[in-house]
Amino acid sequence: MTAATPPTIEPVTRLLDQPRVTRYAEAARDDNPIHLDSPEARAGQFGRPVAHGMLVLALVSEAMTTGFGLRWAAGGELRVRWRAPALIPTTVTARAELRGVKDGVASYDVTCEDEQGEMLLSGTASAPLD
Amino acid sequence: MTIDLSRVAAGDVLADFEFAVSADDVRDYLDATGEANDLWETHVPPLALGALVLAGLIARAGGLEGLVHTGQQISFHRAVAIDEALGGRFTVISHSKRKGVYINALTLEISSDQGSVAEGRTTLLLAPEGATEPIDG
Repeated sequence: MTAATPPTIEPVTRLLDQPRVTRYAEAARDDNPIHLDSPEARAGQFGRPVAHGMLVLALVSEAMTTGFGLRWAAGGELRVRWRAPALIPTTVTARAELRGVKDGVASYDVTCEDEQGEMLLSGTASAPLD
Repeated sequence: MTIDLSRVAAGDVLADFEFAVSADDVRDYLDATGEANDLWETHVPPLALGALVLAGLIARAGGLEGLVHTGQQISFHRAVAIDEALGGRFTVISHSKRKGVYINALTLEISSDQGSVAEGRTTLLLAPEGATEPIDG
């Protein structure tokens, strides 16, 4: 029997701007004013709105879905920490680099970076090969 | 009842609720994230599930100002169908305070009548106005 080959995960790049973040706030029912074009966001420590961390992480999940399909939803695992806020508007790229395979599970180092190369998120993602 | 994340303790169950993810919920999520995949015509995107269970916690929190989501672990045990009846539960693992910032680690459980659907760990910082802790993840 030949072991399944872990897929190469293609990067996902997306513009995170205020309209997208506002739509996400509604979809995720998270209307924290730091994410919106609000006085609180402008007066906060970043001086402008920041994207939801889960919106940034969604790009990793999208990339893993492309590689694993429904196996991502039925056996995937994420372990991440947010390293810096995604100040909008910004273009974010999610990447997943294969770390290895153990017991039929492929593990990847995952990152999200903005267009300046700042690390917004890092961690690991894993999913079953069969 | 609202939750004051500055006053919780290990073992506290912060939220225990029922929810479901509808086709409209999924469509709104995909429109917001920009993801497009035929799989999500019948199933819930895993991160939509994560976002909407967090929404259940947010709905019960006493206020979002100063709340920062800094870490997330989540394991998806099986795919969830649209409109499937689910339960969400958050329990405090640890609660501490450093430089005026409250650090809360919570377990996250999503289940159905068939058993566990997903589980994980969520880290939330609550930084009241004037707290000095930088947001460094």
